[in-house]
Amino acid sequence: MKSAAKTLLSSLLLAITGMVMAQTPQSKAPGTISGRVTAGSDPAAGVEVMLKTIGNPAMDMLQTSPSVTATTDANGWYRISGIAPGNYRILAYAPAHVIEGETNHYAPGKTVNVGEGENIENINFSITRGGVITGKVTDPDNRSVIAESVRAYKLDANGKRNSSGVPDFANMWQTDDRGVYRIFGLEPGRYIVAAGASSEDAILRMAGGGGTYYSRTFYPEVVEESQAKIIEVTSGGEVESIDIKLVAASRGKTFAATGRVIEAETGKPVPGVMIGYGVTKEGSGSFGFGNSATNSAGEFRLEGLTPNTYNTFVIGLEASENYASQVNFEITGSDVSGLEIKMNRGASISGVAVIEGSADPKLREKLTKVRISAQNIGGDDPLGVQIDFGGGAGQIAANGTFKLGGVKPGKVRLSAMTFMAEKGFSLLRVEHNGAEVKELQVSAGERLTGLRLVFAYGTASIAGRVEVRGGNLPAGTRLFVRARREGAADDPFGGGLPVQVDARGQFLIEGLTAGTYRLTLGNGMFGEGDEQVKLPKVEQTVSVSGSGRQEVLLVLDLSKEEK
Amino acid sequence: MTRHNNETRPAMTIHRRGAENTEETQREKARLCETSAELCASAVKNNHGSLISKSLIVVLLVWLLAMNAFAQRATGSISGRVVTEDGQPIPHAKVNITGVGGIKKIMAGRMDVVTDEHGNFTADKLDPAPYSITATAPGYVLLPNEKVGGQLGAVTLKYAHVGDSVTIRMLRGGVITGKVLNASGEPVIGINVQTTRVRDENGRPVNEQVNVNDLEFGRQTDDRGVYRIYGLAPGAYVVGIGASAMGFSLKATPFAGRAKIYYPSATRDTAVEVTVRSGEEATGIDIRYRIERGAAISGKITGMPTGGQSGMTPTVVTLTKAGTESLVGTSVVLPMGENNSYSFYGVPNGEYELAATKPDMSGADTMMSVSRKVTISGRDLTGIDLALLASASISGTIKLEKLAVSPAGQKCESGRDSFLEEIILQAKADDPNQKSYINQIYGGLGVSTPSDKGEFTISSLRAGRHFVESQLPDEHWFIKSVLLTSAAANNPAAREAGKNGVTLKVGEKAAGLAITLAEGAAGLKGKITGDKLPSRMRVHLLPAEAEAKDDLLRFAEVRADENGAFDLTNLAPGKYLLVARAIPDTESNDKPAKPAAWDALERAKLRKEAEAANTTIELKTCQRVADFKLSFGK
Repeated sequence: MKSAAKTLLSSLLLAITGMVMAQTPQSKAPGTISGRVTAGSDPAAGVEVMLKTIGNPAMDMLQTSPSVTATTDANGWYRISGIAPGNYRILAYAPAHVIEGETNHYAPGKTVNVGEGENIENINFSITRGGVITGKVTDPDNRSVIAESVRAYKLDANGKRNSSGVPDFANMWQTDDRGVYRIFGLEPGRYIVAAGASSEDAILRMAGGGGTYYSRTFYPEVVEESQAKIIEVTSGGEVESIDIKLVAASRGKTFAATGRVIEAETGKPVPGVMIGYGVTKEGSGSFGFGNSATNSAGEFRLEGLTPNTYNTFVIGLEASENYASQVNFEITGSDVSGLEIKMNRGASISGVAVIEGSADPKLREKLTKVRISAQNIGGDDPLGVQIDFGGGAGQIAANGTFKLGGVKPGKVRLSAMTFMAEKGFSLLRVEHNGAEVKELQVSAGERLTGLRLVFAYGTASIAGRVEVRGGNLPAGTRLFVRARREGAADDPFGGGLPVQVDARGQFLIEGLTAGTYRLTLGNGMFGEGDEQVKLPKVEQTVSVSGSGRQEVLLVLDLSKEEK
Repeated sequence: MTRHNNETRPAMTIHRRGAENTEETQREKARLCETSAELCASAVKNNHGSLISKSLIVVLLVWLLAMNAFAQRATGSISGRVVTEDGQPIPHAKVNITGVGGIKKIMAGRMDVVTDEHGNFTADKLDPAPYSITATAPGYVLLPNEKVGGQLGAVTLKYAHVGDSVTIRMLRGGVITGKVLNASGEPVIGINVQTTRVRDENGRPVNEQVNVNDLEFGRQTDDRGVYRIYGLAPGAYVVGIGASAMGFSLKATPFAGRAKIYYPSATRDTAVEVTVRSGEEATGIDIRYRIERGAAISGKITGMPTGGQSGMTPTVVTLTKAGTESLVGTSVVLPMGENNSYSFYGVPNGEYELAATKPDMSGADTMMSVSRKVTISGRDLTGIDLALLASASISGTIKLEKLAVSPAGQKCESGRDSFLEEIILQAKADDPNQKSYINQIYGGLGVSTPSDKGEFTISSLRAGRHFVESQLPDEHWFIKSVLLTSAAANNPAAREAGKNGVTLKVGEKAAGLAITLAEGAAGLKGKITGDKLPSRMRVHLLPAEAEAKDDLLRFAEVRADENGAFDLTNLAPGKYLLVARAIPDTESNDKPAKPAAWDALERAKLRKEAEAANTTIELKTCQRVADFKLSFGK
């Protein structure tokens, strides 16, 4: 039954991350991509090169669909033909190698926009054999430690390890039943290696776990990172016997937090909801779930907590008219009890979604994939949205109606996740009683009806090129272009997701309605704050009409100062 | 309704700690004194009073407490130990306790309770309900059959209840290790290795299932092409390599979309089995990789609800080998994106069945397709659309009739209070093609546990005739009657749901099933005797009275263990005929034949056999027969 629950939960997680099926336009002349894989100055033969369609980034991360592959010949050349026009990623599969310029483990490879009948050459990869670190992990009594996590941290020129803050599942390794680990494909350089749990490792905890655990111990047998012995890794070299002995002092106990969930108005217990928790300490992305739903007395128990600061959130297993108050707590050296999460009466917002200038039933059916959510503005709840697995909250029914329940009172903004549907939808405006509204004010228990969400459906596109002047971008820099329609509803999801600029500096934004768009060039997928390198701000305004295709050139002048 | 009795499974032990609810009982008593000062006072006063009034008070108290047993949902705990085969404690093992009947009930258990240094665990504040329990510990594996609750092949296991103490035994898992090389003898790196257990430790075939654990770390080859899979249960395995078992992975690999290659360099059908023993290593299991495209199966899910109550739950398409319970793969279709299409890649030639299920959180609005048979012979199959249909349900109430007077001289006392919420009701389809894999994925569709008031809804049912089977938490309870009270007056056969089952149309929501439980059930333990006993036998119990010959509630059957021992519980008092039958070789261990009582012809055949054997027994109210000798082939 455990595996059943696990399967279901992972399916649900898949569901909330969202997915857009790859679009393969029919009856257009196919294109070709070719290139060469080299290892130093030598050709790399027998390397598999994969072509993957770009869809929803969250879904692409999970690598669901099979790739088209080609294998390099004796001279390192590969060629993939018969490619339908569209956006793709092309990757070299060489897990024991280091691929030049590869920085993002979740979206590796190079993006390529293939035009109709286009023959794209010189999409090349340079690979070098990575290094290996291997050894054994033992506990203070010299017993081998099974299924313990091990990590290798690369040090930069200043001897500091780089931590991006992004959960790095790709760099997680484990010991086997003999306590042996083997980390391969490492870039040459200086490393420190650690075994055991660390609060900075962003992890998703499906349930409690815990009891006792070892906090991070560095090779050979130290808790202090500054005392960790540095390991030199060379290209293709293997460093053996990096045996880590867990320190008795690093043995820690985990704690539990208990409490109950009640209705704020009546004090009645709320059974059958799950409690999640997040670590509030900066630099940590950890979050998890309690190990059961609340019982008939509304009681819950969160287990496996290490000393840290936390907040709670409630996951309703069915539709609710309530929203949960957030409770903060801290684990120091003991269990925490008596937490009380109050379910407060929320507002409901309902109305109808329409497509401007179209009554096409097929389009309306496609619109049902868009999810509506209500976000509190200026609230203290950073999440701002209810997590609700049940009841179809936020879905648009076939007749266009929608209803949101359990909305936290206050100033609220409606937004639409158009990226969950087929390309082409955007939220034009929100109307209430015939007038456009930017935000709504709702009170507890209020049933606000008569909302009208006006969507547009368009097939225009912007085809652009990015020219880099005044220097070179650091290797592995990824550029994204985001298009925002002027006068569009103030919607964080509006205008769809940013598109990546491809290996040749090209980008294509499709599914636009007629209007004027402001294009913003950045190197963070999620806009400001997500960049790896600060770049000068590049913005440009473009107008598109009907189903036309507008071409545009964006100039990134690196000699300019960043703004 | 017929009953499937639990097979005796000696490996796992549950100890009933009768009055674990002592704390609650005490509290209950205190409460009683508050609300009924007079009764309380008189109870105290009568301490020195006459014996009669004293016992009267006790009887009254017990009666009041019993009355309250259903009203008060006192929470309690389940505790226990995780130990090795020879009884050594396993510290830091994760114990997983789950409820039954829908995601909410499953979640009402407790995931990952960790054992202490002595291998002990406790999960407190659990509501009264049936719970299934498993444990995991790195490098260890559950003893074969060591599982509490749920289904294990043909056997329905005993569930744990609040107040129980459970011992779970584990043994050191085995290891399979080897190398994966390509045609030129170079290592294949980062390919997923999947082990599938195909036989148990005695060489008997078992259901093949996608091993969810193969999702975990260390299931890929390293930079030398080396893999090492540990913590394997004893038995025979086939070892396959290819894309991740779950249809997605965090790293892009070229293996997706290709057929799995099995040790030594074979297709599934020609795979060589690897035998694994506890604590031992099977080494040198080297696999030669080759690219076999296999075929793709794809299609659309039609009838997908848009908006409304459909929620965000994905639709799961299952691909199984035709005519078996062996799951080849699953494909998840999300309620988003452009089209509701599913696909399977790298499918080897053979006959398969496809079915789609879209569950919802409450379990009430699950949609299901009928299963579709497909044959793969080297070519892709497209357009295999699966139409989702609304599921049917049966709702009603279950109530308990108390025994008015305890029969003199007969022991019929419970060690503990049982609760209506601890009953498991399952609607079983009278259809040999119905598969149970989807239940395994979703933890029990078509299964329900009643509320504390005895109300239940068994949902997610396909059209057809169903029999409601029960698992009762209290050995003193038996099913007295099952009536579909909502049946039309001119259709008395439909009303007799205990005898004729409930026949459901697509999407039908049948209400008003009234199940009456009674106290005073009998039990019958025994052993089959005789020369040259078949290895697999089943004991059938049928009513001896001629007027009860078609009363399905009076039938019971159970599989005997290897030694011929059997245990039948929750029997209505009365006269019975007993007969032991060999289980035909055609019946798999994983999928029992439907109960003989369901079919009128089978029933008549069974009666003829039983009358010829002429072994009878009269079971009195509350009677426990402990060592009945049933001779085989008489």
